Amino acid sequence: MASDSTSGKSSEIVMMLTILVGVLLDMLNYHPSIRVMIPNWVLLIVIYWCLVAPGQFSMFVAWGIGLFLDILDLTILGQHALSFAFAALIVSATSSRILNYSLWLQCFFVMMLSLLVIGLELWINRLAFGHELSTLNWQSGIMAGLIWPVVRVILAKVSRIPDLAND
Amino acid sequence: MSRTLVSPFYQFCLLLVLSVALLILDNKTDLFQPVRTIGSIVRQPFELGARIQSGIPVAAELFQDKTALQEKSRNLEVENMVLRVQIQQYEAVRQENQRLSRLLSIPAQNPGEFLLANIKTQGAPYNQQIVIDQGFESGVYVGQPAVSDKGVVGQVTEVGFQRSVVMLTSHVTQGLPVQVVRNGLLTIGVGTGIPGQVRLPYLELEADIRVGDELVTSGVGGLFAAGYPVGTVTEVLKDTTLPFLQVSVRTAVNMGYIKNIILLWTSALDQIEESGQEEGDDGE
Repeated sequence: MASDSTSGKSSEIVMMLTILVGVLLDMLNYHPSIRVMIPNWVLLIVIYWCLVAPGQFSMFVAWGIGLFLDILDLTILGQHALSFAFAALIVSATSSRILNYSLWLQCFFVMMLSLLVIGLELWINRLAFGHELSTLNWQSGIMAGLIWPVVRVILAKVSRIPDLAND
Repeated sequence: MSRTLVSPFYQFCLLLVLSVALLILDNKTDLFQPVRTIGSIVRQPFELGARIQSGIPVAAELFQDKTALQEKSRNLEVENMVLRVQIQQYEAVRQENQRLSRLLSIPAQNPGEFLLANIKTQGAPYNQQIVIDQGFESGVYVGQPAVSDKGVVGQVTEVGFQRSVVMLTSHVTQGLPVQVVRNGLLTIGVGTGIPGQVRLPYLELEADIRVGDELVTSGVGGLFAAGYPVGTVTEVLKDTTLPFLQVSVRTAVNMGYIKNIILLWTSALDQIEESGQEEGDDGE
């Protein structure tokens, strides 16, 4: 696999840096009208690393990043953590197959996974507060799928791993 | 494929148990309150992006036309003048109100102290929480009411050193005693989880409420002083199969357009207690 070309230590630093950039993007003040369409940047980056380095980037790391987001995002502790671990489980279990998918199939996969994660978070929120919350924030999931090619290309440049899925 | 000894599925089960434990503990107990305080400090470096972003319009102002700035300053002066005149009237009305309430032996409500706080970040969508730049250093406390120039914003739920979290009235866990301006009807507004929306779930089918009714805080419960605008009724659904009306309210404050809020130290509570004591004294 391509991840063999990078040495372990430096690629871990790159991973963490990209995650931090994702958190920074997440914290920007978006206008309320486009806020619902903003994809979960950190989730996209976690998906990327789970795809290209399933061995290095374990479920536990994803869980830890989720917990960190919970603390920052003022959500209930464990909400992002659980959903990120869930995403990591699915991606790392299927990574070898997804890497061979065409670009459009990958986008579709990311879109479905994002929607699943958003749904899971909404469900946890409903359980916690016992109220009917608002509708599923599906725009964000769709945007995640649409923006996936861009994220993939940028992260491939940054990580110096040859871009995946050459169709 | 897996380099670890335990299969991914069992790893996930372990994390699942951990997460559920965390969720329950965080939701049902105050055990992680210190983590929240630390979290608000950890947030600071990550707000750098948002800070740069909000600095862009300020930088643009530097290059603004001088005449435009003069124009703006003149407009502000005029506005200031108008407000000063209005405040004079307000002062007279307030004193008259105090006199009248003394006559009726109703506790008068002073505006009390206040503090301006800037909004640092607005939380994730559907989170209905904002972070402000004032903490227990300036005496902010949990449960403190927050308003803006348009009306009620919410109440403080977490306090850090120089940082606090304000839960908006539209958050699902929030309830606010309100009053209809038109006829004085008292009820409770409850958050919906949708930005800028509150509902009134406890109104009987015969209740006198219509679309367009203005709502203000009623002062019941003692958290908010009476009279702060809450919102406008946008929808009244009468379903005879349900025991109550379904009323939607659009909040007076649109969070997208405000940069700072005002924290209130209402003296209303103390005064109610004081007047209660006085009444007790009278009885003796």
